[in-house]
Amino acid sequence: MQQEDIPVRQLISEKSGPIFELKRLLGQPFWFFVLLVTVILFSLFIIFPIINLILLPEASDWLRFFTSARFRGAFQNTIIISILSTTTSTILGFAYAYAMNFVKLPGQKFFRNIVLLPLMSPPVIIGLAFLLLFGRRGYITWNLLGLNTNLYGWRGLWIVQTLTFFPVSYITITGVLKSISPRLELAARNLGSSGFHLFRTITFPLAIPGVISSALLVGIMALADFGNPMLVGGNFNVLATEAYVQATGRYDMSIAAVLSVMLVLPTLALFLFQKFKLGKTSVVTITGKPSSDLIRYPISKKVKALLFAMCSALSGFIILLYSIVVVGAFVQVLGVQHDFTLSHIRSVFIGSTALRNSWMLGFTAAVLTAVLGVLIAYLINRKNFPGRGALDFITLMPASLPGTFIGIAFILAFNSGKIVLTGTAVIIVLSMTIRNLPLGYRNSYAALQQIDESIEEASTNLGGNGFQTFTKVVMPMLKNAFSTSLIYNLMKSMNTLSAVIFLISPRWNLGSVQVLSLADHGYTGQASAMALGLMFLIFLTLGVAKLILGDSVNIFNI
Amino acid sequence: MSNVVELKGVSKVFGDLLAVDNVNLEIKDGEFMTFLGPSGCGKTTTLRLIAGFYACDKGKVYLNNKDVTSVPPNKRDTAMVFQDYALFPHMTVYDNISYGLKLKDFSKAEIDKKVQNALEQVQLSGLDNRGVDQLSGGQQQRVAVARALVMDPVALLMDEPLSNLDAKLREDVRAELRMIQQEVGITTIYVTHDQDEALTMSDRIAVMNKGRIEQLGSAQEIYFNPATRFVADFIGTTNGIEGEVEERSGEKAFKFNKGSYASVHEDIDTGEAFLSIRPEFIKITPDNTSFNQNYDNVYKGEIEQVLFVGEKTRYYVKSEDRRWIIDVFGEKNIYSANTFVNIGFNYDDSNIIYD
Repeated sequence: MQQEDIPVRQLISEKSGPIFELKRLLGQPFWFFVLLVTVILFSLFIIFPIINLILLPEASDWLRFFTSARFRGAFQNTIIISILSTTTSTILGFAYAYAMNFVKLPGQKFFRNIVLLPLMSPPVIIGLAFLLLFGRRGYITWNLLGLNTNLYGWRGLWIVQTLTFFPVSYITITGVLKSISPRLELAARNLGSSGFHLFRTITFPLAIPGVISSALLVGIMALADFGNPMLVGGNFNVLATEAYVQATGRYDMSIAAVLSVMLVLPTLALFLFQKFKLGKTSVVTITGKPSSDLIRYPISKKVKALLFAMCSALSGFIILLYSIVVVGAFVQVLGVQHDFTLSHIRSVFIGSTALRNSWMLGFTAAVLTAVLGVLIAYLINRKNFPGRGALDFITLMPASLPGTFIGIAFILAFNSGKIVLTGTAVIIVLSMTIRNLPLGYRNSYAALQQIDESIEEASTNLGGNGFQTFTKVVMPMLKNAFSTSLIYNLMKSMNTLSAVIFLISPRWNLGSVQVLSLADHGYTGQASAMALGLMFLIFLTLGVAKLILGDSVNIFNI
Repeated sequence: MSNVVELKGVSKVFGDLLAVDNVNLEIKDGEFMTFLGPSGCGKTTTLRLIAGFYACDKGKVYLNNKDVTSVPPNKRDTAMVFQDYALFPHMTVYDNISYGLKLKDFSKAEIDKKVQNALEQVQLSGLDNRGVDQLSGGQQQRVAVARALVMDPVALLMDEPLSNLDAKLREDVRAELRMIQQEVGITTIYVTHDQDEALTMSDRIAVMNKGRIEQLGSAQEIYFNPATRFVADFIGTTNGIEGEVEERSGEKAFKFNKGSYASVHEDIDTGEAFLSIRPEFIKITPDNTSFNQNYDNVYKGEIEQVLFVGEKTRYYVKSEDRRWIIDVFGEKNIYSANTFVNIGFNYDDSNIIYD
C-alpha cells in the first residue's frame, strides 16, 4: 500500500508547549491539584519571605554594612574560616574515604561507624564538647594541663568545623570513590602503572568532579554554620552570629537582613556553580551500587600505616568529644565538681518540654518533607508542565540558603501582616520542612529514576488513573526511599539550630536551641544532658524504624 | 467482519522528527497484525498511539468504530504486553494479573475465576502466590500476557514481547503466543523488528519505514512480492539489482551493469527499476550442463566464496560484473570456491520494483 505523497510534513507540528502540557495535566486532576498546592506553598513560604527580606533594608542600611569595620570584618571572617575549614574537611574526608574504600585496614568497620556519629547528632555537640575540653575551664586545658589559655577564636573554630564537616566530605566522596570501577585500576596496572602514579593518573582524576562537588557542599555548610561560631568563636564574629546578635540582641532587623543577604550571596554562588557547572553529583543519600566485586590491589605498607594512624586519630578525637559530653551530663559540674548526678538528665527529660517538642515538630516536618518531596519529584520527573524547570530550581534552592537567612526571613514575613505565625509550632515546622525539602526531593527523584516508566504505563493501560497508579504502584516501590527520607529528615529537623533559633517561643522551645543557650550560660551539665537526650531520641527512632522496616532503612547507604 | 482498530491519517511528531507519517490502517476482528520495521521506523510509536500513551498530532484512532483519539490511555480498552514486561515488582503473580480487574470493580469471585482462567491459558496454574522476581524470564513473559488477556480487551498490543528471551525459547514462545491468540480469537497488534517473528505469526504484516507503511500484506505477499525496494531489502536476503526496463529488439528486458540483460514479463512498464531475486530462487550448476533451456536468465560466473550454514549452503558468485548471493538447500554436494558455474533464474521468481 503506497501512500500518496502529500506534503504533510509542513502541515503537522507536535502538539507541545505550555497550553497542551497544561491541558494534559488538567486531565489528571490529582496531579494538577498537587502542582497547585505546591505552587501556593512555595509562593507563600519560599518566595514571599525571600523577597520580603531582600526588600526590607534601605540604602542607608547597606551603607552601614559597607562602612562598618565590624560588619565587613564578619564578612571577611566568614569567608576565611569557610575556606580553611572546607579545605581541611575535604582533605581529611577524602583521605578517610580512600582509607575506607580502597584499602583494607584493621578495625575498618569501627572507623566507618564512628565517623557517622557527628552526622547523626546535633552539630552543636562538637562545639559543646570542645568547650568542655579546651574552654576557659576546659578539662584538658585547665584541669589536666593547668593552662590558663583557651582555644576560643578562629583556631578553635577551624578545628571544630573541620571535625564537624569532614564526615560530610567523607560520605559524599565515598559515593564518588565507590563509583570508580576497580577495573580501571586493574587496566592501568596491566599497562604498567602502580603506586602514587596510579593514584595521580587514574583514581584522583576520576574523583575530582565529585570531590569539588563535595567541597562546595561543605563550603555552603561552613558559611552557614551558626552553632559552632556561637560556642567557640569567641570574638571572632561571622555573618551568621552577627546577624543573630543584631536581630535578637538589638532588634535591628534591617541590618540583620543586610547581613543575611551578604551571607546568602556566597552560598548561592556555590550552589549555582554546583548545579549548573557540575551537574547533579553530590547529596548524601543517593543510592549507588558498588560497580563490581573485584578486589583492589593492596597499597604500600607505609601509606597504609599512615592512613591507619589518621583514621585512629580522627576516630579517637570523635570518641573523646562524645565521651566528655556523656561525662558532662552525669557529673555536677565538669572540671569543678565531679560527683555523679542524675539531676541534669532529670531536668532535661522531665523538667523540660524541649525534647518532646523537638521530636514532635521534627517528626511532623519529616512527614511533610517526605510527602512533599516524593510528590514534587514525581511531578518533575514524570509529568510535563510549564515551569517545570523553575519548580525544580525553587525546590532545590533552600539547600543554598543558610538557616540564619531562612529564620530571619520567616520572622520578618510572618510576624505581622496577613499571615501571623510567630510563636506557633507551625512556623517551626514550616522552616524545617523548607530546609529539608531539597534532600527529600532529591532522594525521591533518584529513586524514581530507578523505576522504569513502563511499569506505570502498565498500570495506566490496565485502567489505573494518575492517583491509583501513584498509590498502588509507584509508592510501594518507593517505600524504602520514602522511609529513609523520613528518618533522615527527622534527624535533620531535630538537630537543626540556625533557623529555628529565631522562631522558638517559650511555648515551643527546642532541644537543639536549648543546648546552645544552656552552654552559652555556663550550664554545661544540662547542655550535655540535652544534647545526649536529642541523640538518644534520634537513635531510638532509628532503632524502631529498623525494627519495623528492616534493613531497608539505610540513611547513609555505605 | 468489522474493523476493530482503525487509524485514519495518523501522524505523530517529536520535535522536528515526523515519527509517524499519515498512517492509514484497518485491523479486522481476530486478526494478528504485525508492525515490522527497523528501529526508529515508527512501529512502537504507532502502537503507543493506539494505546493512548501518545496523543496524535493529526488523524484519528478508532476502537470498535468509536473515535478514541482524545480518550486517555486508562480509559481505552486496549491491553499491552511491554517489551520488558513491566510487571509490578512488589506484587505476586495473582496480584499482577488481577490488578486491572480490581480497578474495574469486579467481584472477588469473578476476579478469581478470570485470573485462574488466564493462568491456565498461559500454563502457569499454581504459581499464583509467587513473587514475580522468583519467575524465569519466560514465566514473567507469560504473566505479562495473562495480565493483558484477563482484561478481555478490544485489542491486545504487544511491543517486542520476545526480545528479552533467548533465541531457543523465543521460537517456542512464538508458536505458543500464536496458538493462544487463535484460541482466544483476540485481535492482536504485534510490534517487532524480527522478520522471522513477523512472518511466522502474522495474518498480515505492515512493513514500516520512516514513519510510513511501506507495504501491507500477508507474509507470503511481502516475502515473494515486495512492493518497495525497502521491503525487498529488509525482509530476508535479496539480490537487488539497479537497472532499467527497456525495449530491446521488440521485447521488454531489464538492463543492468550497462551491458547485461535479464528477461522480464512483457506487460511491465519501461523505465528505471530495481530487480529483486531471492537467493533461493537462483539455481547454480557447473558450466558443462544443458541447464540453459530451463531458465529464463542464465549467466556464466565463478564462485568467490562458500558459506556452509547447515540447512543450506550460501554461495557468493561473481557474474555479469556483480556479486550474486545464491542459497542451495538439501544438497550434500558442495562446490568449492573458484569453480566456474552457470547461474539461472526465472523471471516469475523475480520482482521488478519501481520506486
